[in-house]
Amino acid sequence: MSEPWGNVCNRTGSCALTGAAAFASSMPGCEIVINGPLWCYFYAMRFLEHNDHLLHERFHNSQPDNNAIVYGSEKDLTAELKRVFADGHKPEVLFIEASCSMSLIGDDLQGIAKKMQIPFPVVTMDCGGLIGGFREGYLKCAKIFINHFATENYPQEPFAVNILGLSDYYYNGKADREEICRILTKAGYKINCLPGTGSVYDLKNLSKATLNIVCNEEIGLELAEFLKNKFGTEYVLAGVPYGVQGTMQWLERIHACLPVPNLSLVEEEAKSMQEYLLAKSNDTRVTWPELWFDKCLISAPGTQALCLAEALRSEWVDVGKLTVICQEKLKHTAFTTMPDEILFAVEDEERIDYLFKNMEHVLLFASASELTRFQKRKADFISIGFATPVVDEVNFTTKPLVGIQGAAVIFEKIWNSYIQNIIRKSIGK
Amino acid sequence: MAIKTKRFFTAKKSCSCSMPGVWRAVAHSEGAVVIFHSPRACAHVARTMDIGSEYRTVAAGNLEANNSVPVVSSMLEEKHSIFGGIERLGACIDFVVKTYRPECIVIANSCVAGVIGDDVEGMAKEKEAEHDIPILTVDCYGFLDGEYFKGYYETTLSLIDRFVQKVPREDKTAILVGDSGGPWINFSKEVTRILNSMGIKVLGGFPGYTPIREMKNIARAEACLALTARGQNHRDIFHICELMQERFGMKYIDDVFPIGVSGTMAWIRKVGEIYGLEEQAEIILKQELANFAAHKEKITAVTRGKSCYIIIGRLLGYFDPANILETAQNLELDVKGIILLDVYEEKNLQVMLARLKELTTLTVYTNMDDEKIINSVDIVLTTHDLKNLTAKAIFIPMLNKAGFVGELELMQAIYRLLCSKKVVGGLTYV
Repeated sequence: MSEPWGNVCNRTGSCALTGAAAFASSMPGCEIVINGPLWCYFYAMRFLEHNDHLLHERFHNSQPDNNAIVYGSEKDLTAELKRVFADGHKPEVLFIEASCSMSLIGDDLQGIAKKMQIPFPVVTMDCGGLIGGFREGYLKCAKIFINHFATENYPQEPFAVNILGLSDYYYNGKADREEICRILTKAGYKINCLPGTGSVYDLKNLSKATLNIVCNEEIGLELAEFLKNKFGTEYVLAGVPYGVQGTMQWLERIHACLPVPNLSLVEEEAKSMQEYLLAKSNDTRVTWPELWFDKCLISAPGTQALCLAEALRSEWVDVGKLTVICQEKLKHTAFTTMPDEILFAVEDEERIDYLFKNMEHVLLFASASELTRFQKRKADFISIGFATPVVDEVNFTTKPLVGIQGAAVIFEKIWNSYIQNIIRKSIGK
Repeated sequence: MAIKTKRFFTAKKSCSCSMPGVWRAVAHSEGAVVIFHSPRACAHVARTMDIGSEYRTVAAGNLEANNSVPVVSSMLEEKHSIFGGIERLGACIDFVVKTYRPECIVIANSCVAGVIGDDVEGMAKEKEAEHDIPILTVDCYGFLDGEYFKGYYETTLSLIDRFVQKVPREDKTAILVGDSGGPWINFSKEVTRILNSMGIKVLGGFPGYTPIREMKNIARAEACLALTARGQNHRDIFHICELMQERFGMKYIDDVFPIGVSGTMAWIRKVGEIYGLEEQAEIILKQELANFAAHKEKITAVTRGKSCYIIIGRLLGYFDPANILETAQNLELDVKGIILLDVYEEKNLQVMLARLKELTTLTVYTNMDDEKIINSVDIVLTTHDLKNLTAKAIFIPMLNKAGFVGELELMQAIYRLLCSKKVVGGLTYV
């Protein structure tokens, strides 16, 4: 298919405005001003505050009206900045991003900020949907921040790694990030920097890493190439560690590029978890039938979806046919040989639409968007929330889905959904 | 310092975008396809709204009967801001025709298209001639020159012009004009229930829930009834009903859907009047009021005399305080006063103050800064989530549910909150 179009109801996504704000707001000291319509601001905030319930305290909006298209947005932006400062906000850094229509009128955001003599760093960016979706906004913002704060090329430190391509605003992102850091630290790596988390001043140390580890390709790979050009840092596209064996394979990919002394500690933990999960699932099998699904559909950010597919089929369940929908085009799909079919959200639109209309007896790992398609036609399916937005389940706890601990969490979710489905069917519901 | 909302924004115009309004006007009209002449992300907002609406329907114990129609974005990019996006739109229309074979295409324009100055209407005409398919567009560009409801209204007018025809009348029938979430949830269900009890059949919802091929027949209904709340887009919806009367001789009432006790009573009587069912209306009213009174008695046993503040931060154009004041009265709450939040521009503040003066003699505070006073009452009824709010609080719905059933649901939520032994605070949504 050559056309870039397709029914957006078959997929989810968000604006570059959201992606840029996701990068900036992951740094707790950063406050954000959206110079754009309230509507755009509100949707970006609603997307992000699912993962940060206090975000509204540092996420502001200049609310320009249509006059701004003719006269510029300086008046509205200045008024909002004055209100924010009068309210006592003193951010580590202020990030002002313009929406697409405000970007077109060409206001000099830095100039406006300078005129106000703001006593802390101000980073500005023209953004909005014209530059793309979450990915494009995230990457553009990341590069601007890195260029602004990471100006020195320091000597590399042994075992120091940066982790790229993780966002707290991906589904379950924060808990997953913590588990990834835990495993890497246990193996002997020193986590140097995760761009887009921690203090904005951590960015200045980016060049100290010996290796950049890329997890999600769509928001990490381009950044790794950018950093290789800027500081000469090598990188590895490691993927996302799902499953116990999947986590070990992921770690081995990193270890092959930068060996560390304590890999065996993680191996021991993995072995112990593997035995535990085997024993627990054997015990479950005494009562409940083998985990078998005629079909499984995974629809999520690309690398995540592929890496889950590998663990799902090789470690947890038997599936008649496994289909993966990557929400964006990827360069690298070699993390797994397990899927029977790999589709891409835009270019395989017709096939995806067919699956949504016809699939039955499905184990679904996806967002609420895909789920509603099955729900409406009362299809036979079991779903586990795996990509934003998730509406049909709540997550108050902070358990990871990745890594060794995450393997137990996902396996448990699958078993529980499976058992509940059998019970529902047995009582005719 | 004044009481602060958790999310600050100034209550002024330009709060929403016209594109989702255009989309909602045909969202469930089988045969239509919507093109957002916009960056792709704008269309994702529509999908996000769609998912929210679907789950609200599920949460209310129902299931939407069909999927919304396809939404396709022309996917404007940076280069189009220099060279224009009209060729891109033309190619997108060709794609839509080839892929979906629609009976009608509706184009929603983004603020970006407005700033670039694309001649969308010209392209729509050209492609309509080429493909022999109606292609509609409206003179709204994102948040510029009109908001959500303008997009909805303009699209509806366009649909009437193109599709609705004069056809033989079917007595004792109605169509519901407007969009309050579709035929699956309270607003439409409650109105339909009341009408059915009077012997009136509802033929469907217009425009967003009528298939394109059936739009030509909707004027067979004896009357069109507005399915909208006051303060939303009610004047636009009334105007659509007036137009249907002028062109097709349909009856209508210039009233919003039934809200609250007095609103529902008035609405039932007006319906009875236009259908010549005055006696039937009085019988139904008697039954409904008896049922309401029975429930009210149980509820007021708990709510009577409980202290309360009403906190408001919405524009009068979107929110008429009359309804919540009536609910407070039904519950026999001891309202200590009305607090207006510090989010209004001066002229909007004056408009709200004038309306409150018409409605009540209660004290109105415009500079309340003592959180302790607010938190000292039994319950707070508020339009906004507030910082440091520890009192029991009900979020006043943007859209009141319809009829006696809707009023009772709101009253019951307040009753339950007052019965609650929880001490952890938090806002209750109804």
